[in-house]
Amino acid sequence: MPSTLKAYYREYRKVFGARNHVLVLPTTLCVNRLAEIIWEEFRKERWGENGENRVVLARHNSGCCHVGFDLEVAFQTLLGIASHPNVHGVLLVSLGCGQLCKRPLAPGEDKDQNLAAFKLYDRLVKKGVRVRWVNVQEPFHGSSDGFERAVELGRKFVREMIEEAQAAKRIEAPLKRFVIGVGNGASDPTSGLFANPAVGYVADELVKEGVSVVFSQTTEVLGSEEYLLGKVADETVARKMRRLLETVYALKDALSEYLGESDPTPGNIASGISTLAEKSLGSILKVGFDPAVKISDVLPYAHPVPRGGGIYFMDTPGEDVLAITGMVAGGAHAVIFTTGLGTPVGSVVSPVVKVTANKETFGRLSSIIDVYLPVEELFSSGANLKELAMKELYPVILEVLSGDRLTKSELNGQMDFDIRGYWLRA
Amino acid sequence: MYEEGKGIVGTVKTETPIPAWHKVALERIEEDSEVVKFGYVIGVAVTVVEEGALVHVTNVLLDQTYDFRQMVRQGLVLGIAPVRVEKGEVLRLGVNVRPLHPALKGLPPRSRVGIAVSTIAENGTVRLGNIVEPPPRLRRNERYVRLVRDFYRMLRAGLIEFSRVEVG
Repeated sequence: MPSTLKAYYREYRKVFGARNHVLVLPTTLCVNRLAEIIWEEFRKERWGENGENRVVLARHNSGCCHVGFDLEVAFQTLLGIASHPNVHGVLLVSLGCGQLCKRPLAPGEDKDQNLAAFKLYDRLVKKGVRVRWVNVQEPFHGSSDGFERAVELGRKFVREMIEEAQAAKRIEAPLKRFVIGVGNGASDPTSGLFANPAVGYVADELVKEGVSVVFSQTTEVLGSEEYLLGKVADETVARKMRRLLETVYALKDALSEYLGESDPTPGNIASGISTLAEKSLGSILKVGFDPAVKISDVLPYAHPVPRGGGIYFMDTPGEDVLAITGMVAGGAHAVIFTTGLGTPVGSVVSPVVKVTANKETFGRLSSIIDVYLPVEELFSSGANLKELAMKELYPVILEVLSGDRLTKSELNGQMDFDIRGYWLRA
Repeated sequence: MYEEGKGIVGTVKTETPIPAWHKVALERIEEDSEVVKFGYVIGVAVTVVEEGALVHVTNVLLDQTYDFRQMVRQGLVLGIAPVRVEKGEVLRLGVNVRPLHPALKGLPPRSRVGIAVSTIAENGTVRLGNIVEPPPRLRRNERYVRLVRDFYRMLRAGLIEFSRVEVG
């Protein structure tokens, strides 16, 4: 197996990107349409050897009026997605009065007097991210309309960044500089029996090559504590894991009205799942089987995943888009996503490889699912699941990272992005 | 029967028709013994399950002895309250908390442990889940402590209404 592939190197940040996208990112939901107007002009632009790079738009419903630590979560998610290794440059589109917007400066005021309002921009500049900013409320000289000016400026900035991105070439990159996320959604019994364990074998191999593998979906691990607490690296991680699970249980208790009936759901029971432990174990086997590989850390939502190997657990909701966004904002270059019933989900900046072991689903939804694991071979030709996973799935991941293959989510133009929120907004 | 790495390893005669993807007992499972799938316990048999029988909600349950929640909480118990503590009362070491958690041991007497958000019965446990403002040494993962605190605050302020809430 090759342990190198081709990727874009961002010299100033010392990271490799599997894509070279230009990102248009509204810092608050009020300017989603403005960001969309800017993006629309470039919607057909493609570059790279296989046309795998494009201008992407990360619409979301956050960025303003957050209470508690929701603001922190929103900030971290925006920061993570804007400084993602797959992104060449980012255009931040802001209004001016939002919590994460750059406020227009008063006459005579300079940037240093109002540093808080520049937090997102400054952090990106410090990281060495190519970043430009347009602000609707900014009084532009020589223009009467801030909105139109923002459209004009934004398009100019994006055009500049596309030209830079087009000049970039892929170079040899060691596999150990990459982060891969694993997730599952729209599951059926084939997910727990075949697809998730198959991803587990691939994850084992990736970790052996030095790739960091991140998994998430906290609500879907409840019940597999025996496995989880047995797989943590040390007592510190165990304590973090227990505390996280305790919090989820506390919330689950109070919200039993909504969550209590879901372990397992009537649909699960009808499909053959008897207990919560069985359900969670089926989902968590995608983490891998190698007993020597331990969970190195428990990360909060959207926090950077350390590179250089190991398994990491990120606290995210079970919902697909939020889980994928959390892992991608943490720096996942690509996500392997198992599904039984089929889902079109993707991510705004990272390719999402969807895997199923359900032949019917694949036949019906091959336009949204990338890989079918031919599990009937297990019984006919004596192949085992590990061989099957290494033959059918592992090469696809490398091809996708190298840009030689576009995932169905990319071909369909999926730009899924959302920010986790706990509370009502003030 | 298929086993990973070995292929087809045998057959099992089923007692009744088994719906697609459901579980079959590969051997006789005694009452109260563990049911193992994926190499992990998924529950306890509540009745004898004969070889070849369908294993499902009718004969396997996660019961009290497999209360995972309890298992998780063991690591989060801070101490025991030797006296009844009313909601809102300040918890202090040696006064109304006997320390159990290593982070509390070695602190001077009368050190503040937090404020009870619900009534703690005599000899009840003081947990991260029933107090607010725990000592800094326990706040390493502050985000989640804040989550719980904010949640209880909103609850007490009447900002959230649930039909079944067991607080206080």
